[in-house]
Amino acid sequence: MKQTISILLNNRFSDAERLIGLFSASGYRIEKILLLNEGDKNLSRLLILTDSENKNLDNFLTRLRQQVRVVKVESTEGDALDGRLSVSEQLKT
Amino acid sequence: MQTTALRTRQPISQSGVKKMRGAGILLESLLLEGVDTIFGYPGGAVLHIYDELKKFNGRLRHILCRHEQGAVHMAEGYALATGKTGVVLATSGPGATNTVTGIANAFMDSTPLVVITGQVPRPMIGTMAFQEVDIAGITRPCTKYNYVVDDVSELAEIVHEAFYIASSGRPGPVLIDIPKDVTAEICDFDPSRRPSIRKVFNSRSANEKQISDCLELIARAHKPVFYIGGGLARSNALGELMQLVELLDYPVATTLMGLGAFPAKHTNCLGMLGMHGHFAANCALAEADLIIAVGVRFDDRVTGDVKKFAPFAKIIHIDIDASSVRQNIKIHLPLTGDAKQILSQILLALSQKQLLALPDLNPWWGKIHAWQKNYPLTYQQSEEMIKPQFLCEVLSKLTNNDAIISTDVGQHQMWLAQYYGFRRARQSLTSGGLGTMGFGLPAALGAQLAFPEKQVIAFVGDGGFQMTSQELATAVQYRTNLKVIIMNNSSLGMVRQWQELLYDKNYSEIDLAESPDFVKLAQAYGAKGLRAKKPSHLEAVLNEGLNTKGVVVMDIQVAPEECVFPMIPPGAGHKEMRLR
Repeated sequence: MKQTISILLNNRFSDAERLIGLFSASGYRIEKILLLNEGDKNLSRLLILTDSENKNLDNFLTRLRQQVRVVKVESTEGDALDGRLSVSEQLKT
Repeated sequence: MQTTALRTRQPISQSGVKKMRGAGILLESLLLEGVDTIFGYPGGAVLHIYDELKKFNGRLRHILCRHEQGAVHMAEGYALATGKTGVVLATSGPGATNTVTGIANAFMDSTPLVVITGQVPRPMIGTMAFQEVDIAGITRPCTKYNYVVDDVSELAEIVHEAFYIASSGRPGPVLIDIPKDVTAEICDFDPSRRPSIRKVFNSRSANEKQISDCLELIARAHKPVFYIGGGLARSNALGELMQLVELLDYPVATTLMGLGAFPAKHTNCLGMLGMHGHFAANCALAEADLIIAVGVRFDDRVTGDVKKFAPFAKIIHIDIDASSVRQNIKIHLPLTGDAKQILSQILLALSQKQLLALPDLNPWWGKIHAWQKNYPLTYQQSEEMIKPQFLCEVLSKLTNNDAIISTDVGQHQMWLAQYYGFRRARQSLTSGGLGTMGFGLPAALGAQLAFPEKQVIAFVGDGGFQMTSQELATAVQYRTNLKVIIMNNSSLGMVRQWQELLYDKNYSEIDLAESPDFVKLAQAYGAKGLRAKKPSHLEAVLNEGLNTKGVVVMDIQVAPEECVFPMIPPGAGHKEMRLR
């Protein structure tokens, strides 16, 4: 089951890497990834597309929510990054 | 020489802004957190800090370890025995990487630590400079949080927040990596102004609905059992549990990390759960219709095959960490929050509903007593060789099962857990989750340095002892009374056991017969060395060793072919226990 996980975080030095690392450490393959600034200098949104097949997603989302600097975690089924990655197409040209 | 007495923190008298270098701000900040002891090892990147440390003589005690892994295990032992946060100071590069095993150990066992490492100066980061390593990157998966300090003006706040994170919620290790030039930089520091930090770990209590659901499950339980672990001890919730046990007359089974959290000799205590747990404890879990799990994480060494785990039970899980349940265990009623608070809520609700008709537990206790009677822990006594189980029994008797005892991982750890009969929380210091050989000796030393007058024993195997035996020098240097008991079976016993039982006796690389003479080794370190080979000499040797002042190493040579039973083979269910 494809899942897009959205994490709002206070992104100080290396906080995004800590969260990204938690995906592979928990057996979640990262298929797409996008880190966006949310206006405030330190507030970022991390969007990751992953596959939650045979996994306890609720438990993983709870772990993400408990991480230091994490403000909010949401998850939606499917690939919510589809349109947002068009920038990469632009970079290719 | 530094004394071994614990010092209380001297309040800083003058308030107001002072100009200090980063190294001084760091150490002042540690004092403000109530730190009295640092376990460390100097090196190039932390020289400014060690230079500053001299000025804190009498306020901060530094223990010079012999290896950074030993330093972290000492800080863990100190933290486990006292309940405070342990502090480590190490240099960059190899000093930092040597801390990793200890940090991972603390992460698995929820031990609060703040580990401070030096880093190469900021302009040199990323250049593969001498003794440079990305320790923040290396430790990210095994710390609760870590920092690279980029600006000296943030240092005080970072230290304050690090201690908060390490000790709150589910405790764990936090690492602060400080580039050398940051420790040299001058900055304003106001010790009277505490930095404000965002509190992220709110201790929740259970709501009314949850408590009434809990009572309903209790009202219907004919085969209940408490399954308790290290979280109960961390939460100081024994009083609440004891009242509940007295009120409900439920049996109590503990995990390895929960040893002593409920007294082993209490009539309701079934002993330890899991792979080498007591028969009755494992059977009680397997047949229970209600499990109240407190401060545990359903570790695989406890559950065995999750598909066969407690098939008839409704499970109430009380834990401060909502994510601590393993996958695939169905929890009927999760109660996230502080165990002490939630247990007292249940108690209050029970006392208000005094006449809640509770099912008769006599048939359940009858079954449990039959398990206990028919399948007690047993071993074959010998006239010729010291049986390891006998060693644990004699040690328990001689110390009135009241000593603080650490272990490594393996057979000696399991036998001690089975036979010692721990009385209270913070008495058993063991490496549970990570299973770290070499943990025992330094962890015991950390506890001994915290409690110089108490009887503290490192109970280790001959394999684990040789991984951190250099810390004997530290034990002697600080004039401690540490006692080290080596359960010496001249082999890697647990590996040998698995090879015997699961690999058709194909013994591969488990022979440690060519180890040094541990009595002479002790003497070389300035400690006393004793040896026992015969059961008839055991008690006299232990008595002499335990009652001699100073550091004593007792080499107890035990029967090498003994296996730990009961044993639930890996991947099996609780009902598939092997007794022989």
